[in-house]
Amino acid sequence: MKSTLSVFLICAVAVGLAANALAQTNLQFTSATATEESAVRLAWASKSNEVYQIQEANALETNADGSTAWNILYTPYPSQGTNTFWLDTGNYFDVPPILHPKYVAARFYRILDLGPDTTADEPTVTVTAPTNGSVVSGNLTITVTTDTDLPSLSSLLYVDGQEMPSAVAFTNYVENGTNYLTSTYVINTCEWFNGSHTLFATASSASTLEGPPNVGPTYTGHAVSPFVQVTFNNLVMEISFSQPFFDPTLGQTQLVSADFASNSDWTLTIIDASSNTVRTASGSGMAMAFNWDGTGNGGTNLPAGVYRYLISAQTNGLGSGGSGGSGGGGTNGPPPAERMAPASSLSVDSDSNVWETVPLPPAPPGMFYGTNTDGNEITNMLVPWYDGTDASASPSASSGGGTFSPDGIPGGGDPRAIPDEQSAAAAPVRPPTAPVRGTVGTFGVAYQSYTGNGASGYSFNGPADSCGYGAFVQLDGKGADTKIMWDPLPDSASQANGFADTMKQYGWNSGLNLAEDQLTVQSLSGNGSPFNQVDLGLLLLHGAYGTSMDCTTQPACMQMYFPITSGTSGQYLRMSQMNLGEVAGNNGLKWMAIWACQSLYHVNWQSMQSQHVYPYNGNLHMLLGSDTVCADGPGLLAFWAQYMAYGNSTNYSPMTIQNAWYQAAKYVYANTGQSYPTIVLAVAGDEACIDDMLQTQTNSIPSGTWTYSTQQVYPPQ
Amino acid sequence: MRRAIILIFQLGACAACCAEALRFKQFGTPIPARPDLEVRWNAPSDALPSQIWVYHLLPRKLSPEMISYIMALCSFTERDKTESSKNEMVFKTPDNSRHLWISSSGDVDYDSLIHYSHTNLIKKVPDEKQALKRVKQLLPKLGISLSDIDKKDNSDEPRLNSSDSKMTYFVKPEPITNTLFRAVGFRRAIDGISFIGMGTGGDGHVRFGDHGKITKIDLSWRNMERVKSYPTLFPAEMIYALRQGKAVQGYLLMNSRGINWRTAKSVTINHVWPRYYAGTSMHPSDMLEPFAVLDADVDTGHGNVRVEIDCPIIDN
Repeated sequence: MKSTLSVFLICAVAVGLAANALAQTNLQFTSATATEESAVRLAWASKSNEVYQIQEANALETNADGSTAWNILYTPYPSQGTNTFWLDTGNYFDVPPILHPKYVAARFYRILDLGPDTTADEPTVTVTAPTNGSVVSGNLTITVTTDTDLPSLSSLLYVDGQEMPSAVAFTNYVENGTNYLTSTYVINTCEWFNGSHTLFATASSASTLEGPPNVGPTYTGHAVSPFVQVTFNNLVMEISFSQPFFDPTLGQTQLVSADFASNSDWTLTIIDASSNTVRTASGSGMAMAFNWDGTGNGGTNLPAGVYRYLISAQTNGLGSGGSGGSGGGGTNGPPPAERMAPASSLSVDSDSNVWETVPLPPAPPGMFYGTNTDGNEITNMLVPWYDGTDASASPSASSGGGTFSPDGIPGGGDPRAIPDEQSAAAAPVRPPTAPVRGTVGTFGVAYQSYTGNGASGYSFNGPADSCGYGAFVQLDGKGADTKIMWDPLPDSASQANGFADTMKQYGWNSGLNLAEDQLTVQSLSGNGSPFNQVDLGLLLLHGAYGTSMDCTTQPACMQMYFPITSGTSGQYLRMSQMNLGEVAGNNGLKWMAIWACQSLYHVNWQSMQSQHVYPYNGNLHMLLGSDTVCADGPGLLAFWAQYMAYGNSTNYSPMTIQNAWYQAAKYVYANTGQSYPTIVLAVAGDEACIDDMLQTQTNSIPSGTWTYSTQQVYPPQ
Repeated sequence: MRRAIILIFQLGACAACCAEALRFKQFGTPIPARPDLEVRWNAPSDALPSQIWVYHLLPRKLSPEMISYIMALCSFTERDKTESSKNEMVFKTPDNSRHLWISSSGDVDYDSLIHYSHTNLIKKVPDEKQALKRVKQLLPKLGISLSDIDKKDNSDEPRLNSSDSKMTYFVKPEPITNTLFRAVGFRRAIDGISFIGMGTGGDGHVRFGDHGKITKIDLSWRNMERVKSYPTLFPAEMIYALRQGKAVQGYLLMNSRGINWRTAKSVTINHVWPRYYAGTSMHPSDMLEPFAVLDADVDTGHGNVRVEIDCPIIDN
């Protein structure tokens, strides 16, 4: 079954393609609408307890065989009941990013039904604060409570169907066999139009523990909270940015804009990561727009990094109109927001859902409305009706969900509650814009969790020995000529994701992401390693050191080995096969971390050095690893990212890359109450680059003299 | 203690609960409820006290004399003070190579950038014996009694963990290995029960570098007041808690087999220790709460795995 719904900028295609849902014939869009911010809100008829995936393409039938190259835009997304909606604001964490719809001429959508949850024991999720009908302003703290009987539990917050950043705090505990998670989110409501907005949260549970490997199937469950309608009421509203990231060295600027509920005198203050003011602008009017070229006051140069924007305003009694501002750059305010007309009609469908017909906003210049499958021009859209007062009286989803209102009806809100003066909290918080100026850097992550054979892990022979001493190089006392067991490392994915999410938060772009079988020996061999194209690399896998000579290098040496699996088999990557470091130009690999046991075992590293067997070229600054066996403490590599990019206190005080490596492990391992073996991490690096920081201006040019250092990270000292 | 930062990423840290009012948090993985799990208790029966206190952590106000001593120790004077408020004092050198932070709650953070190279080697780093001696002399001057330090096993000696950091320069004709610093770390114990965690009121470390100069002090030490004493759970009650899904599993070494708790055959508890916990430096707590560390062997059906299990020790 295939149906097409077209509106301007959008061609929506509903096709149920999931293997377990081929027979589903009722998967179809119920609306596809452009919001006032030119995001696209999709809604489709759905089944309770199903999980969906949203895909997109900017053109159809682009493949040679006439098929369409669909990209995953968002997944997984749990059903809200019989009608599910989601807001497309792009996906900037993909490589390459999928742009916000406002930046593309057309976008086609496809919804896949990934099938039902595999547990009957669904989690529960509720937005416990704020309450339905609240009128809020400024920063809004949102509390989400979830629980499940399964070991793994997480939640996500959505505003008007758009996913928000991760929780800023959470409490997770188990009581009487039930796993509870309370998550606290903070959003800056000044980044939306005033008016009614829909908050909801989703919960995901799984039977697989995060730490140890498991046998048997993983059971998953999802839930969506009841919707909470809140009214945003701000003097400063719709703070928005023209770019998710911007880099002045590429000639890019960041247009910062905002609307005001009343004619106001406004001030924009741009602050750096240390909260120092670097640029100010001011003006008056109903709106502001400041086109920041990335320089400080007086045109001073500023380093790449995290910059946030503070907008304060005070009403001036001039009524509507007024000038845009005096801050430089574009001084005209953004075009007035489109207003949604009151509901013109209500209708009831066969499922007793109540819908209202709402006119589409005017098409942007140069754009036009499309037609629906009947060839009729789209002139309005249907959205579930909500009267703003009684959720129980409105159409509601059978499992979670509820009603939703058109997001951010501009000009809405309670005029009596709108303040005459407001200093909006630092923006941006709302995705997709990151508070980053410049291209801070790119990173790459690759990992294997060795779960291709389930809980059995992998067992295969050691690296082939070409010295003639035996059939295989002896690994870490595990014996030659025997199969070596490599158990699952199920924490690899969460470690990798935690690292990646944190780096992105601080303005680093993902340039490489190789998960499981995507990581091959070739990924790290020779000059062609894709890691050599990013600034910072992280590899997570098993490691071991050889206790016999390896003659694949001449002269022979003892070295380190990393099992890399594909499907149900595996082979070894020798450290000597690596040639890490940028190959040409200035934007290549400088720092590489190998999170694996004994990845930098001191005896073998010395052997490699003494035999001039180098896994790096002259451009690599640093290689980080472990001298001993290590343990997977939760979030350890996210802490590494945090410490490098920001520091370990409220004040911006980033650590050197190597100090962050050691400190993150010390911090995490300090939370253990039992005696473990001593854990020693190691860092090898060029002498001139030992104190490198991610903040590029402090880094040095390699001198050619390499060093190797260690620090004990457990027991704590 | 440095102010907690707001984490913007979810760490996957997990916690377990021992009651509604008091909860212990611990990095780790929840152990699912397994009422049928076979658990053997082989730990010594006298390893736990009969009663255990919950404490309230309070600020430790440093005296002017103590602050002056710390400033002198770190070679700072009043002229180097860059920030001073009711919450903190900050001292910095103009080139930012050294800084000292003293909080109103009594935490101290001193750090200095070490300049070294193969042509500028660090010399005369104290050996372990010298470093331990100096720390024992230093701590009382920082207001910390050695009797408050966690003790070595079967000893009244404070447990001071010493390690060094070495740097090897691969230069010709021979590599040069240089000791960069020697660190001594310590943890607090109260009522004979040691703290875990870092930066939450009961730990610290000192580093000695070139010619024995102190290059780093990281100290988080609070005053405490007793809140309430609770009877310690009996082993059978802890086993019950474990079976009811009230415990979490500690870290596993990356070269060890994992544990599937849903199919594990049995658990043998070989040792048990009480521990105190006050959150993490990211999410600190003012309450110092006890829990039990169980040193256990888990029969997974495919062999034994030794693992830490963190379990409630009181029931309030």
